[in-house]
Amino acid sequence: MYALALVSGVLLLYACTVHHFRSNYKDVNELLYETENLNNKPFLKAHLKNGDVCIMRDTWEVDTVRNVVVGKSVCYDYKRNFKPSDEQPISIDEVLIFETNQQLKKTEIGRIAALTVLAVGNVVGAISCQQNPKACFGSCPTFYINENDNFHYSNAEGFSNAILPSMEYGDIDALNNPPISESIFSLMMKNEALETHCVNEVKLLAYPKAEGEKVYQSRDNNFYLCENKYTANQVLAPEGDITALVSEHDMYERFSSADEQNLNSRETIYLNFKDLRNTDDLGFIINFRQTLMTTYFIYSMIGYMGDRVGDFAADMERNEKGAKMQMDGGGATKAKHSILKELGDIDVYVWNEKNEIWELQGGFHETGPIAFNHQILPLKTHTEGGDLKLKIVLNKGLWRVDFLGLTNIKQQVEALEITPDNIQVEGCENAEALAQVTTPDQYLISMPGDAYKFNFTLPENHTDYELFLYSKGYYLEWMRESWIKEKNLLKLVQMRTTPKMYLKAEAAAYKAYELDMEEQFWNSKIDAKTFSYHEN
Amino acid sequence: MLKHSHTMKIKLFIFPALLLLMGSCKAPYYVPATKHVGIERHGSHIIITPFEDEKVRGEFIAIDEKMFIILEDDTGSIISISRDNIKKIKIRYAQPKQYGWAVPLFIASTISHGFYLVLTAPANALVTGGVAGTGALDFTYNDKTIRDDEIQMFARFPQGIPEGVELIDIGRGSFQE
Repeated sequence: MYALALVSGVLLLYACTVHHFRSNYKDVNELLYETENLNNKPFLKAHLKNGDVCIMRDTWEVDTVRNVVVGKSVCYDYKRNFKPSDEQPISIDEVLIFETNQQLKKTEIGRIAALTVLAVGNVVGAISCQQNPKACFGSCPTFYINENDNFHYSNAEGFSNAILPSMEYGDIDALNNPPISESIFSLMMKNEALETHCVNEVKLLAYPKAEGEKVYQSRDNNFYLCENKYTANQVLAPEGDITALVSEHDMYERFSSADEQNLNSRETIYLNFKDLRNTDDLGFIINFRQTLMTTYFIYSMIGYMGDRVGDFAADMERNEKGAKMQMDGGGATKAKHSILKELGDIDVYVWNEKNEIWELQGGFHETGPIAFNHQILPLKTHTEGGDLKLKIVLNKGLWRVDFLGLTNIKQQVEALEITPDNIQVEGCENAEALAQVTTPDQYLISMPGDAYKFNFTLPENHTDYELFLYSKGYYLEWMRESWIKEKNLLKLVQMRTTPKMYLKAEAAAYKAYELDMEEQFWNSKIDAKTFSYHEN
Repeated sequence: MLKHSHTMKIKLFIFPALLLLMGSCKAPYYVPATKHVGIERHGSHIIITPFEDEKVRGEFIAIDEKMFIILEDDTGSIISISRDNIKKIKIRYAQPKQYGWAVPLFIASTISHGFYLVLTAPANALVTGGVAGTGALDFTYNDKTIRDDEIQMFARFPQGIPEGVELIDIGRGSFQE
């Protein structure tokens, strides 16, 4: 689209051309000489000595024998009142100045071309989004340290799984913040989707740290103060050596395409670490996020409900806490959970040299395709010497991995919980919003396009903090017309009762979507952007 | 529940304001449409910014070695301005093209682009704003784009005030293209 704008801009340059179309002649011979080779005869004005003007279109001729200009003319007096014409030739002796004017043609071609190109681009974009709304209309509130960033650089996304009030939960995301130099820390929360966000609570979890230290979050929301960071000497994926790709926090990610036969298909990545300086209390660290596969399933599920989505939602709310989530043979929540369970985690294994087996250490899982998750898994296996082999097993086409590495855990730590001091909306403090996110039973309702700036005050007895965002709430997708057409209750039942079959049956449809939308979604990333804080 | 009326009010205000702003760029009636340029009977519309006094807007009547003579739009009176007192000149010889409508329309259409709105809305604003801006500014000259010896071609009397014509008698005839 930016290329489109540039092309349009070039066309605009054409549109800004200064027009040169008018000439004056005091001498009739000069007039004849200058106009004789023109393809289109110019309009002619004869400005007379008495102030009258006679205007001729392109039928005029100069009669040099009689010294007159002949042709059909319209004349006006010096006040520019119309003078009835008697079709008499104009005596050249009465003319002080001849004025010629070329017709202004195609003056709008540049502007019309620019608007046409833009309109075509907009229509193509709209059609693409209409056909694949799951890739264009995201989910959940997005949080930004730099309020001017777009969603590709979101620092956190809140409660991605909570698509109904009964599914509300608290979500913790590492902000991977740059070093803190001021006591005031601000976060911008945006609603960038066609959704209603209901935010119950937002607070910071702050962990003091010294230089060279880093705090990581585990899947079960424990926090570990760590030091040292080790990258693998070799990382092998099915497609080959990806060591360089996963050795930096640079937003260049490793991902694969889904299996075209079965969306429930696993792949393995092997990591070899050599000469680790310290093998005590190792933790496996990973930066990851999801592809659009989960988004596809969530939106498909809503689409299958069709015009009955409200009935399903009401049923689920009535049967809150999972007491009874059955309707027409398919509880939607259960359908989603069945699929997610089938797709699995990012499982981590360590090679036990002595027993010559891969030992499962645990797994990672966090829903959402936008913000990166920075998490740690404390390893149970102690290694002798400085070498270690690991493997991760993950579903094909579901995960995007930015970084893989090891660190030494110093200790488990407890968080300082910091609630916002104030919330600003368009630069103005909003006490009502603050009350809503700090009072348990109240909700801050954020509509598409809304943005809220949360300001927190950090304790001043430490110079630097590792910050995590805790956000609690739920969101409501806006039902779109195209989704209603996808109503298919049988597929909803299949999703819930036989997720394995569903993942096989849906593979072809997803592949068509994946090829198109993943490319569009992620290729719009702006490579030139520098993210120094990802280097920590 | 937090109300969003403030944001909505601003948005509701911006679009009509944009339309009004673009609409206000229309030139006086005696300035011809582009297809009539060359057969108009009046001088071009001129805006002169003097070093002293306020801007003068009106029909460009004539120019001589010392003075610009203008038939002022608001008062219908003849005003002479010394060349030495002129800071800026803008001449409009054809009616501007109105593309202000495209700005809100195109920006609003990007709502159908979902996430990509953050990219497509600024691109649309940039291009449509450029189109509207150049449309409003086209068909004009200023003191940087027109030579001193070319300016008189856009006056009602490029030959200068005709002999025997009193300045006070110069007005606008009944308008009829």
